[in-house]
Amino acid sequence: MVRAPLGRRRAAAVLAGLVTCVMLLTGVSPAAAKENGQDNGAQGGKLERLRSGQATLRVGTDATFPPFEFTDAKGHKQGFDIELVRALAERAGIKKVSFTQMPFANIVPALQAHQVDMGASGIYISDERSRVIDFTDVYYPGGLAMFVAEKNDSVTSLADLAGKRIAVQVGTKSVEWLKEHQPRAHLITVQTNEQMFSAARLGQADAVVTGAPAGQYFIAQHGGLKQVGKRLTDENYGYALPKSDAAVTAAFNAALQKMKDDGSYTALTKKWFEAKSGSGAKKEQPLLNPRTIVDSWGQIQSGLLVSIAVIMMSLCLSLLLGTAGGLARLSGLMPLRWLGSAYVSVIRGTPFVVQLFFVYFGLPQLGLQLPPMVAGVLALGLYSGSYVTEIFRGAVQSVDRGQIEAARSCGMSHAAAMRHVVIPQAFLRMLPPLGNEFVSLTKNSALVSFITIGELFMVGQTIISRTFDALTVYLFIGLLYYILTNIIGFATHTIEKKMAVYV
Amino acid sequence: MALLETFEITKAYGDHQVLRGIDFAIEPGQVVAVIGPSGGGKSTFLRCLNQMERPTTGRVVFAGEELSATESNLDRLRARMGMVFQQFNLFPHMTALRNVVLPQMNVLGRTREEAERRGRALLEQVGMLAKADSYPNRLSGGQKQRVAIARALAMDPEVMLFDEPTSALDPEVVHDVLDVMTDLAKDGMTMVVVTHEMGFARKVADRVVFIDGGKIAADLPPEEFFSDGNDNERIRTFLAKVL
Ligand SMILES: Nc1ncnc2c1ncn2[C@@H]1O[C@H](COP(=O)(O)OP(=O)(O)OP(=O)(O)O)[C@@H](O)[C@H]1O
Ligand SMILES: [Mg+2]
Repeated sequence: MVRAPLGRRRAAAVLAGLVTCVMLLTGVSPAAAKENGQDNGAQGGKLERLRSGQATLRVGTDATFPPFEFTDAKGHKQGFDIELVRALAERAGIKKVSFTQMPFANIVPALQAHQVDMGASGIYISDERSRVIDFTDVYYPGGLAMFVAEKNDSVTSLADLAGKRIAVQVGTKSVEWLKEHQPRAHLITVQTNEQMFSAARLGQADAVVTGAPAGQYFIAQHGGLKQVGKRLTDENYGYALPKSDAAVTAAFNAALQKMKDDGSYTALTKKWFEAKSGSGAKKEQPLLNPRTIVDSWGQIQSGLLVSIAVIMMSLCLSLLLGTAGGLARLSGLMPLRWLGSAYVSVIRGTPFVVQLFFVYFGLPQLGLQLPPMVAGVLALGLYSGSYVTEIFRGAVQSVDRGQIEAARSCGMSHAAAMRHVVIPQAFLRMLPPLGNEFVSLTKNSALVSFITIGELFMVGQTIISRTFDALTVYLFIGLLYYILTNIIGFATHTIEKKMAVYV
Repeated sequence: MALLETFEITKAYGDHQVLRGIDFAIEPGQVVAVIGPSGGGKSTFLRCLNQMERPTTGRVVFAGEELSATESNLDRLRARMGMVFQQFNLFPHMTALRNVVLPQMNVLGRTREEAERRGRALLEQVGMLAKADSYPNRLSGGQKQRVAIARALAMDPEVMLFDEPTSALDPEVVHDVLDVMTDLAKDGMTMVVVTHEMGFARKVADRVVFIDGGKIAADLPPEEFFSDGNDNERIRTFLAKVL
């Protein structure tokens, strides 16, 4: 479990590995995908429901990829993809569009699981992806290019990448392409677009291989890098949709053609890819930059509130499950005891991230599709509840047998003895380990960002993708978590002191 | 008619035979002291009387009713038998008064007022009223045991079972507890008392039951039991050790 703080690079690598694993587990199962598709196709009329306003077009995007998509200081999603999708939807007669933040690598699995209706996130059209999802026509030409730090002259061609450390974003085309065309490059796989450019700028990587538009936009905004060599590929960007929604895809293609014909498409590309490219590199920034926090305060606040909501709800669920689990483990009924042990052993024996992804990406294949918040709270509550189960059981068992005997010798039932005599004493003993457990829960809550919940950690990442100020943002976000965990520690300690009058 | 009676009860823990067939009866108002060497099965016997321990075979009959295995019937009968433990077993998270009040409310369904009135009267009877609002951790061993006796009495039991109530106490407070028990006996309470206090057995008990090796080896009035004429060899060696 990710309980100990990890270095950012290591954490990124660990998470990248997990994301890939879960993609394999939940995503790339063609048989299951087909079944899902057919199910949905049978319902039919998706386009009609979108047009009548009954249904909202849910668009999955990783808004950390300017200029295609990123999040501004107010927390609004901006970028070429965002505006183009809205314009296309309007022309296609679709009434409601909503954008959902998710890691890039999760978009295709989310489409297959029908968690979203469309992926708009600078996704390259590829044969492999086309096998499991559909693409619209090309809406923007892309292509991989190489970027290096300004002072670096050691790379001018693909051949020069041999033996060098190349930063790539997990789940993007660059990964596969480099493995095939420059197998001697050492890939450094990172989570976000920003981490990729920062790696090159800070010398953690020798070069970046990514889509040319994104690299050029970074240079225009922040400087410190330059594009070298010729374009490596010339692929094209398309919007991704589930195979079952051919009608929606066709409607988008028609709308795109209309926009190209009437000039509005050209106006949009100018706005995002040309106007800013001329603005030149920004000045070097100080090491710690309070403005980053001040400017994004609204966003941080809402992330903090979401985090607190997630923590409070999972904490309640955890207590509930832990009490039920503990009672089951102490029960006189064999099947209940067995159930309690199975719960503890399965949940404690598997990584939390796997459970989280299983609930959010895996269960839809069994027909159980949960909103992110529900899935996140459920997974966190389940996970923490297994620890609370053991805390509860241990505390109850630590209460002297004589206590039950005294109560029962007065004629109290077993249940009454537990309720009035044993559990109140056990509760006090539970408090210190419960406090620790809830501190763990608070820290684990950062992981629900992976299933699109806009909590503190995710907000941090979106701010960094806009400001490229990882140092300030992670420091500040870390501080907020530190305060949260200390509040929990303080609260349990206070309750304990209050209750412990009799010890 | 006997208030509490056992028929051939035996108790074994695995291969270890602890009680080997005990027939015992106590009349209302009687005080029986149970004595004997350590490990002889005195506690086990006492705990079988209110089924804290289930006998392996044999029957226990209380007030004409068999203490059956069904829990609800058992709870009902247990409420009419008080028990006092060597280690007090007060509820540490409740004040002395609350210890005495909780079972009354929970089992007898008394209102809080009723239970507190009765509780205060009993705490006064055992000399603990001043400490009604103290938590057990603020009480000495002797004080704890007197509160525990009040808790058992609060259920208005027909018989009181004591398992070495003074063995965990400092010598100077043993008498506080024995005095309370002596008063109880004088008031006509039916009592079974496992004890090492020979003075108490001699002065207060109507009968002395000697348990050795899981059997009742003697059941005599105290004056006979302690008389020099008692020629039971086991009793003589036992008494020689404790007196
Ligand atoms: N729960 C148990 N499991 C196994 N053996 C037990 C258990 N309880 C008691 N015994 C054994 O039964 C025997 C009788 O124990 P018991 O406590 O009744 O003796 P006692 O006469 O009360 O002794 P003492 O004077 O030391 O209290 C002892 O050998 C003891 O080890
Ligand atoms: Mg004993």
